[in-house]
Amino acid sequence: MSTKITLVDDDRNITTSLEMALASEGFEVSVFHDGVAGFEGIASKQPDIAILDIKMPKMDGIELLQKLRNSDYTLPIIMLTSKDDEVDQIVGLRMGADDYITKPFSQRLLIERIKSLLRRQDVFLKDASGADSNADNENILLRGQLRLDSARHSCTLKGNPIYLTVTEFLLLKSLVIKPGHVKSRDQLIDDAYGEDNYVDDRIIDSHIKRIRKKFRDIDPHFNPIETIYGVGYKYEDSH
Amino acid sequence: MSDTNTKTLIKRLRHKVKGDIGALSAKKGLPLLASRARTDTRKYHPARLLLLITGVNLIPLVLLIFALLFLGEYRASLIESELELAELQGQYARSVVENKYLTNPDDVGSALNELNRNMARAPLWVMIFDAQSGLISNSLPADIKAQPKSEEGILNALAFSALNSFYELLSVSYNLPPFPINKIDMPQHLPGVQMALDGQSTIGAWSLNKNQLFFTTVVPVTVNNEAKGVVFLGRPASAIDETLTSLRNDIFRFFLIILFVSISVSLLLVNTIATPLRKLAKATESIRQGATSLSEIPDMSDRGDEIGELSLSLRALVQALWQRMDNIERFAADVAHELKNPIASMQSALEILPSIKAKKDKERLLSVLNQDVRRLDRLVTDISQASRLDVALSTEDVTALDLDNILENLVQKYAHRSEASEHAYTISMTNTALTPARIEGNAGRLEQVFTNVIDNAISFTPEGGTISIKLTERPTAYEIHISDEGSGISKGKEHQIFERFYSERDIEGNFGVNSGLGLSIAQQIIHAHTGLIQATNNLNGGACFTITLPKLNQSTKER
Repeated sequence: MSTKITLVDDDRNITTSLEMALASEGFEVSVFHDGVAGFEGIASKQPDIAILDIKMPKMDGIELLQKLRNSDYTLPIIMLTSKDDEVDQIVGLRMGADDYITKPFSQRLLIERIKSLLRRQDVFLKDASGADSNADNENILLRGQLRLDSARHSCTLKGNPIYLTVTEFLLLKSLVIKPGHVKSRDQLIDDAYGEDNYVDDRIIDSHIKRIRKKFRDIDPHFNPIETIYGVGYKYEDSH
Repeated sequence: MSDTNTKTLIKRLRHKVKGDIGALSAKKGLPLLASRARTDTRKYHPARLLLLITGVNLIPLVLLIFALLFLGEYRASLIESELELAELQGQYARSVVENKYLTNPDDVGSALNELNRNMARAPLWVMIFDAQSGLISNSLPADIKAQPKSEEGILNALAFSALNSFYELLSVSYNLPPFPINKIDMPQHLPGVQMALDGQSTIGAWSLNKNQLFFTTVVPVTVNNEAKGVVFLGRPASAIDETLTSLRNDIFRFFLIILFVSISVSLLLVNTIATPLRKLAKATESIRQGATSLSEIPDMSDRGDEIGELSLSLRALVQALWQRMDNIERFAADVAHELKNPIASMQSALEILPSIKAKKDKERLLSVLNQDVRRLDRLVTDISQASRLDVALSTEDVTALDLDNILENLVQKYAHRSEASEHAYTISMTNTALTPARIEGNAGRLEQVFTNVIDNAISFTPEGGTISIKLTERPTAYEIHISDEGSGISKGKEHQIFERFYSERDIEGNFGVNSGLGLSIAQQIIHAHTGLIQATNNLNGGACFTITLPKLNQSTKER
C-alpha cells in the first residue's frame, strides 16, 4: 500500500504539477481546491500526510488545520504559505502544523520535507513493531497517571486517551524519558524532527503549548511540563 | 537778531527730539525685527511669531513717543511766545527807564517799582545799570538763587535722578544753556549786560537750576543818542514748566498704562497662539522624524478656535497618512502574495517537466506554464493600474455623459465577443429611465467599471447563460444593475468581494483570467464619481451588482 497524500490548494496550476511530481515519487495523491472539500477529502481518504495552502476560498488553510486538529486528526500537516511575514507560519504552527514551506518552493525541498515527516513516523512505527516481539514494557512509559505507549502511538491520562500528533508525541516522549532533566529547545528539535531538520525554536513552544492544553482538557491541574526560562523544558514527575 | 536766535533755538530743539526718537525706536527693537526678516526664511525660527506679536504690540508705545515730538513743538511755540513777550517787555522797560532819565534823572532807580508793578508776569527780576555798568537798582526775587544740594536720602536722589533722566529722554527738556546763576553777585558780568552797554539788546532763554526755564531781556538805555545805562529783565517761565510737567506726567502715565497693556496682550497672544502653534509644530516634526504613535499630535479641540481646528485637522491628516501607509503596506504584501502563486506554480511545473514522459501530461504542464505567464501579465497590469488609480482619477477630465450610450455600446461589443468565444453567453439591456440618463464623469473610467463587472459576471455565468443589464432611475441618481446566472455570492461576503485579491471562484474554465483586482478597481472608480457599488444575490440565485451614479445636476462639480 503506497503512502497517501492529500493536497489542498485552490491554485489549480500548482496542484497540477505538484500532483504529477508527487505521483512520480510513488505517492497516492488526492487533490482538493477549497477548505470544505479538503476536510471532507481527508475524512474519507484518511491520508498519511496533508499539504494545505493557507489562502483558499470557503475555508482557509488555518481554519481547516484547526478543524482537523480539533477533530483529533493527528496526521502530519505541512502548510504552504506565500506570505513573507511570519504571522501565517506562527499561527499555523500554533494551530498544530508540523512544518511549513514558503511559496515559491522547490519541489525537491517539499518532497524532502514530506519524506522527513513520514520517515519520522516510520521510524517511530518501526521501533514499535520491532519491539513488539520483545517486552511490551520497554515501549511503555508510565509516569503516575500518564501512560505513553510508543508501540501504539498512544497516550493516556487517567485512562483517558490523548490524541497527539507525531511531533507532539515525540516531544513529550523526549521529556518524559528523563523526568527532571532539562532539555533545551535544540535537543527537543533533534528528538522530534531528527537531526537533519532546521526548525525554528518557536515551533517547540507552540507544540508544548498544545500538549499542555491537551493535558488540561482532561485534568485542569495536570501540568507536568515546566518551562525553564532561557534554557528549555523539563518534565516534573511529582505531578 | 533776537529773531534768528529764537529760530536756531527751535531748530536745535527739533533736531534733539528727532534724535531722541531715533534712539528710542532703536531701543524698542524695530531695526532688530527688520534684520531678522532678512535671515534665511527656510530656517525654522521658533521665536519669530513671538517677536512679531511683541513688536506689533509695541507700536502704540512708539506712537506715544511721536506724541513727544508734538510736545516738543508745543514747548517750542510756548518758548517763542515767551520770547516775544520778553522782547515787548524789554521795549517797555527801556521806554520806562528812558522816560525816567528824561523826567527825573536822579530817581532812575524808582523805575524799578513801576516796572515791577506794571509787568504782569511776576516774579520779575529787574536790574538797572548806569552807563558804567554800576548797579542802580536790583529787585532779585527770593526764588531766583542757586539750588542747594539735595539733602534727601541717597536712594531717593538716585530714584529722582533716574526718573528725571527718563523724563529728559522722553521730553527733550533742558538743552538750553544754563543761566550763570553763580554770577549773581557780579551782575555786570551777567550775559548780555556788556553787549547792551555797547548798544545791543539781547533776548535769551536759559535753563535755571536744570529744571526751570529762564528768560532774560537786556536792553540799552539811550537818551538823546547818549548811552545812559542798561535794563536787565529776568523771568522764570514757571507757567511753561508747569504745563509741560503736567503734560509730561500725563504722557508718562499713559506710557506706563500702554506698556502694561502691551506686555499683557503680548503675553496673552503668545500664550494662546504662539505656544500652542509651536507645540503643534514640534509634534508634527517628531512625527516626520519617524515616531509611530498616533497620539503624538496634541488634541486642542476644547479650545474651540482656529488652533483647535488646526490640531484636529492635523490629527486627521496624520491618521489619514497612517491609513494610507497601512494600505500601501498591505497592498504590497498582497501583491507579493498574489505574485508568488503563479511563480510557485511555474517553478513547480518547470521542475517536474523534464522527468515527465507522457505526452498528455507534458502538454498539460505546458498549458499550465502558459496560463501562469498570462496570469502574471494580467496581475502586473492590474496592479500597476490599481496603484496609479488614485492619482489618475484626481487628474482626469470630467464631462457630461450619457449612460445609456455607454452601456449600449458595451453590450454590442460583448455580444460580438460572445459569438467569437468558446464560452457562449447572452447579454441584454433594458432601460426604464424616464429621462435621458445624463451624469458627470470620465467615460473611459466608467467603461472600465462596467467592463470589469460584466467580465466578472461572465466568468461566473455557466455556458449559455444570460447577463442582463438594467438601467433605472431614482430621484437623484441612476442605477445600473448587472445580473448573472452564476452561483451567487456566499452569504456575508457581499462586501469582501470588493477587497483586493479576494476570490471565490472555483470554476475551472476561466482560471487565471481574473486578477482579483477588477471589482476593487471598479469600486475605487465609482467612489471617485461619488457613486456606490453594491453586490447582492438575485432571487434566482445569480449575483447582481448595482452601481449608483448621481444625476448630472446632483453631482458635485469638483471631486
